[in-house]
Amino acid sequence: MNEGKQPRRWLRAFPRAWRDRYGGELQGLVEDLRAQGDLRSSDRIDLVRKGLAMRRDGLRRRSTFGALGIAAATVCALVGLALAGTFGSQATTGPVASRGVIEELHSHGVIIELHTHGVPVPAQRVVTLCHTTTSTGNLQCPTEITFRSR
Amino acid sequence: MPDGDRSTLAGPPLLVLMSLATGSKHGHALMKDITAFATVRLGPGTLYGAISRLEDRGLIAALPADDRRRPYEITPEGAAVLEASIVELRQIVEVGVTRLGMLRRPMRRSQRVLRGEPA
Repeated sequence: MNEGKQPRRWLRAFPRAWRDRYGGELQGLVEDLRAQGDLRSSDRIDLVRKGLAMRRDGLRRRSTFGALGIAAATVCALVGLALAGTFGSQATTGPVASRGVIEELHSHGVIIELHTHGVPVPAQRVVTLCHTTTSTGNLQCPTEITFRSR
Repeated sequence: MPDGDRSTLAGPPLLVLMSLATGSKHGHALMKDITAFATVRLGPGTLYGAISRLEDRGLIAALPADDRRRPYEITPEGAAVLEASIVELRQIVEVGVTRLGMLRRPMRRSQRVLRGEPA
C-alpha cells in the first residue's frame, strides 16, 4: 500500500463536511507523527473509531430531524385536511410528508397532488418530500402538496 | 456541586482547554503538552474530535494556519468553562480524598489486629 495515501484513507472514516474543515490539519498531524516515528497502530484504530463515531452521531441527528419532520408533516397534513374541507382545494408546501401521511389523508377522502419544481409526481413514488442537505443540515422541501376534497 | 451542569467539561475536551490555557497551540503541540502534563496520549482522532466540539461551542477559536498547522486559542467563554470544570473537579477530589482517608483508618486497624498488636 502507498504510504503517502494511508492517512488520507484513514480519514475517509470521517464525515465529508468534517473532513473538509479538519482533514488537512489532521492529515498534517498524522504525517508529523509518522515523521517522528511516533505514529502507533493504536492511532490508526483511534482515527477509524472516531470517524465512525462521528458518522453514527451524524446519522442520529438526521434521524432526529426526520422524526421532527414527520411530526411537522402531520401538523401540515391536518391543516391541509381542514383547509380542504373548508375551501375545497388548497395548495401548500412541505415541511415534510411521508407516504404514511399521504395514505392517511387518502383514507380521509382527501386527494393529494404532488409537484416537484412544477412537474407532477406520483404519490406512490414519494417516500419523503423533504430532505436535509448533508453539508448544511438545512431542510429542503422542493415538493408542493395540493390538498383537494373528494 | 452543580447537578448535571452541562457548562463543565471532562475528558479530552477538558485536557485541550487546560493545554490552551498556557497559550495557543496547534494539534501536534497540544498532543505533546497533554502527554507531558496529564501522562495521557490522546490519539489524533480523539484530539481533533475534541477540538471540533470545542470550536463548535465557541470555547476555542482557530488562528490563521501556517501550512497545515492551524493553532487554536482559548476564548473567554472557554476560560470560564475551564474554571467551572476545575472547581467541580476539585470538589470531587476533596470528597475522594476524605473518603479514602475513612477507608484507610479501619484498614490500618484491622492490619494491626492481624499482626497481634493492640487495635
